[in-house]
Amino acid sequence: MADVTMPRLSDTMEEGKILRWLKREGDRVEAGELLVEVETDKADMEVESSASGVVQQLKLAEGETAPVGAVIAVVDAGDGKGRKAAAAAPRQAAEPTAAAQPTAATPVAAKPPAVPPAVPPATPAERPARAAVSAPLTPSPHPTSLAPAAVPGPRPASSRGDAVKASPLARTLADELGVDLGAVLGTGPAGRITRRDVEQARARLSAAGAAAADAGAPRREDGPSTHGSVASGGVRRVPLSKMRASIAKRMTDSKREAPHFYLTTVVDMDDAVRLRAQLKALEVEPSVTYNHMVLKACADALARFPEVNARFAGDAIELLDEINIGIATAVDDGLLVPVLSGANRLDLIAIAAQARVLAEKAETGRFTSADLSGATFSVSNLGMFDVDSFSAVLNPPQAAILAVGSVKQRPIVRDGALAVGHTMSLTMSYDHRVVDGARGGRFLADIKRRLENPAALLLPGGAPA
Amino acid sequence: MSVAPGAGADALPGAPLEAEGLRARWLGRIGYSPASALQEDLRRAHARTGDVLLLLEHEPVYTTGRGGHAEHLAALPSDGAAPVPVERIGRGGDVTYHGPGQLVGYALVDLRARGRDVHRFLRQLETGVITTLSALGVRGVRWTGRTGVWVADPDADVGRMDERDMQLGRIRKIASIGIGVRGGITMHGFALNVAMDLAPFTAIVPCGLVGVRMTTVARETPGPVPSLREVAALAAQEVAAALASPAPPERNPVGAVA
Repeated sequence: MADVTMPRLSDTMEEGKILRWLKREGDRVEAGELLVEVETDKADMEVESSASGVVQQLKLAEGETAPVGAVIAVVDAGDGKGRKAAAAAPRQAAEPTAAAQPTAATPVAAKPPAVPPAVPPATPAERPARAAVSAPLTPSPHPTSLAPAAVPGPRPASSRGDAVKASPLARTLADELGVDLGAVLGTGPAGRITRRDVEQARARLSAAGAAAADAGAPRREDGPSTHGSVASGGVRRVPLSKMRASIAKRMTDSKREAPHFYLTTVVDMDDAVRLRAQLKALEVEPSVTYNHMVLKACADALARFPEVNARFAGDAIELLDEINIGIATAVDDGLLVPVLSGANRLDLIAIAAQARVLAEKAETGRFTSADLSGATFSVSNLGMFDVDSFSAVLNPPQAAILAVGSVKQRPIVRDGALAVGHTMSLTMSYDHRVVDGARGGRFLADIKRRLENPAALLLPGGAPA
Repeated sequence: MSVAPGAGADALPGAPLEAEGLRARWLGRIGYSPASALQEDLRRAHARTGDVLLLLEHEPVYTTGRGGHAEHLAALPSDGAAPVPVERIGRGGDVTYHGPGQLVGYALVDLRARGRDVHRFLRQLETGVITTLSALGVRGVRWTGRTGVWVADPDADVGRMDERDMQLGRIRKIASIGIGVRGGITMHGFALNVAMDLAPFTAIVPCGLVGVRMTTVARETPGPVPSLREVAALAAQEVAAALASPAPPERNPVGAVA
């Protein structure tokens, strides 16, 4: 059993990402044969195996990252010859072997052909299981020790040696025993590492080394699970797509930068329901949805309240001439916000037509850059998911976003009597740096008034103030 | 487009450019696929051809790494009648754009003979681009943790800049850098925006979210910009010189936003 570690491809390399495995579990690999492609910084390198044998385990899934020296694969020589390598793994981790550095070995072509696999390659059906199993083994910050990963519970101390909290005694002992403090879990106050923690880490290290050495023999089905972290919850890591990363960043920035506040109102939609039915009966094309009505009401209200169609710009509030409404649209793995540009210049039918075009583009993914830029306000509608009401996160630098709930029959009080009517909840999120509560309330009430008197939606330029 | 066995210097395609220590060629405008095939040929033939720097501009193309996700391609725009083609390429990384007015440099260099340090090689490419820019009157800078070459506002302290500065356009990317290493030979290299339409870049960031602000030499200098071929001639010398000298041992940690 021999460990293949993340090679050091540069003096300044600290970690590398597995781009692609060139061997599968069960494949035969020769030392010096290409095993994996690793990305570090903006460079991808083919990396050769430092050991010969059958690939027993690929410790990282493609797309995962590990520090230099971390074990990324386990190769089983099968005949026991590889035994010593495993015990030497921690040292090997600290200074990767020359063979692990891809540039050190002779080109692949010069190698003799690989011996046929001793173990059949994993079938496709087996692979997902591998991915699920190997994923949680993702980099403990200091993989030189197998121990910390095996112990769930207390969080590992900071990975930086100088930042690790440890008692002086623990430090001295760690030096003596060759234990990396960065890889030890502190159980003392505030995660401080005690002498006892160091001793236990050392004991686990030895045990792990011995177990690995013993397992040099025939097969080791329990290999992965003995490393413990697999059991700590069956975590599957899904690397962020660019869109998810964008959403994560934007939403975090929004919540950090913009002081949100939220105003909610309930709209009596009975007249809007009737209007929609009438338009339908007249076979007006394209058909108008409640969301189109909301968009139209917002466009007209924004024209009346320019201070909401605005953004915070550090030392000023910028009022925007154009009224461009972003329509939050769910797509695979994320969210796009195509933009209804010049919305206040469009009548209800034109809004319906344009919104439909944008929705089709969202489905086929054929947005132009203009379709996705320049929104001054946004509408997010989760009514189709039977959401009664919710609060949206602002889409910076916009000052407001409207969250729209479902239209359905609910109890409603009319003229002092309980009745059943169609209602819809609207929740506006505002950036408090731009809009205050009273003004925000008036803007929301204006939208509500337009929807409750939907003839306003049919007038050119909306209803008068 | 293959290199004949035993081929010498004259077998390289394109027009020779002066460069110290390697052979530089100007290929003019070339499609992405033929250029990729040429890179692969030259990589395989490296033992005979030696270190080569290809300078060229691409037809408009979006490229995405092997790990690129289909949904990002789906979000690509189709401005105009002829949609820009998308090529999946044999390296990692995100979706990017190449097109006319961008000087692309492909370095086919034996890394084993040059210290075997991939980060150092990246830093050397950056140096070559920075000195090229300097000759054009643009002050290019490194931004630690973000491989490539950047241009910052004149009074800016780049060491203290963060993504917010990037979003506000206080620091802009003028050249992208990325390499692959196969059999010890480097491939790919740099893409320097000289004078080009930047709209295709904005289009590949979903929702116009996040964003590296891109810029060009033309935007950063008041004066006229030399032709791409003239910039290529300059870059050939500067990059060759940078590869011949030790790069600063500056750290550029991985994992940062590009």
